[in-house]
Amino acid sequence: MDLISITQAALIAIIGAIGVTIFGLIFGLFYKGIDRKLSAHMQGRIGPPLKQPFLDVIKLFTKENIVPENAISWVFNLIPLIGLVATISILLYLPIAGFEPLLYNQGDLILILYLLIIPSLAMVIGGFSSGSHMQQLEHKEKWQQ
Amino acid sequence: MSMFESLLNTLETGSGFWNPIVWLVSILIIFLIVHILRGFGNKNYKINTEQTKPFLSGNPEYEKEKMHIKGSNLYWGFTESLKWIFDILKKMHTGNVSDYVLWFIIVISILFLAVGLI
Repeated sequence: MDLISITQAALIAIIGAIGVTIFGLIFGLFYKGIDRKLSAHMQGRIGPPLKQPFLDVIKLFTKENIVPENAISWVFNLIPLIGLVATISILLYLPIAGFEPLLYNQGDLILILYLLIIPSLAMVIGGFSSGSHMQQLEHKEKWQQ
Repeated sequence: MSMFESLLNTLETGSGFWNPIVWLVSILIIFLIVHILRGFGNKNYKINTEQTKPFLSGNPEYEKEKMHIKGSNLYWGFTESLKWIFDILKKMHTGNVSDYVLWFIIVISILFLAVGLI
């Protein structure tokens, strides 16, 4: 691959990453709303409004960001972001709405499978970094599985 | 081909391919956006109050060394139910090298006998 095509790919990666992040965050929450509504109707309930996940995010933003005294604060704060970033980066390698993937010749299915592991790993590391004994017990069991 | 150019190439192994540089660039951008979004959240909390204490169902926290959950805590049920075999195994592990050599010779002799008979 020459320098021009790599620059082209990098440009697609930069612009695509911005687009895909906004798309993923908005549509992810929107689909979550549809999912909650649908499962509520299946159980004979009215269910929350479609915008409920958005309202939940707004509510969570107002909550205090407590870092426990035993926690390793930088890992505790960083790891959830890593999990989300890895998940969003998968969208660059997946076809969206009939269009071919933005980085179709830069990564394959095996890469997607590896990226899918990162969120669950991040959850385990995040739990360990909280320094809570309950979390340690839970995640040691999880590692064994 | 210079080292820089070889770094830019898409890595192909025959069974898969990916370009780490392009992926790194994209995750950096995504990280920036996500970090900015996270910045809208409330960053404050009450340091050194009841809020930051570890949750132990209302029990007090002892020294950090005593509170560490060991492997034996997790496997307690497993070792307790198989206690009879673990007791025999523990007795076999004397820590004496001549005992281990004896076991080695016994196992090897059984193996040789088995091979010879088959």
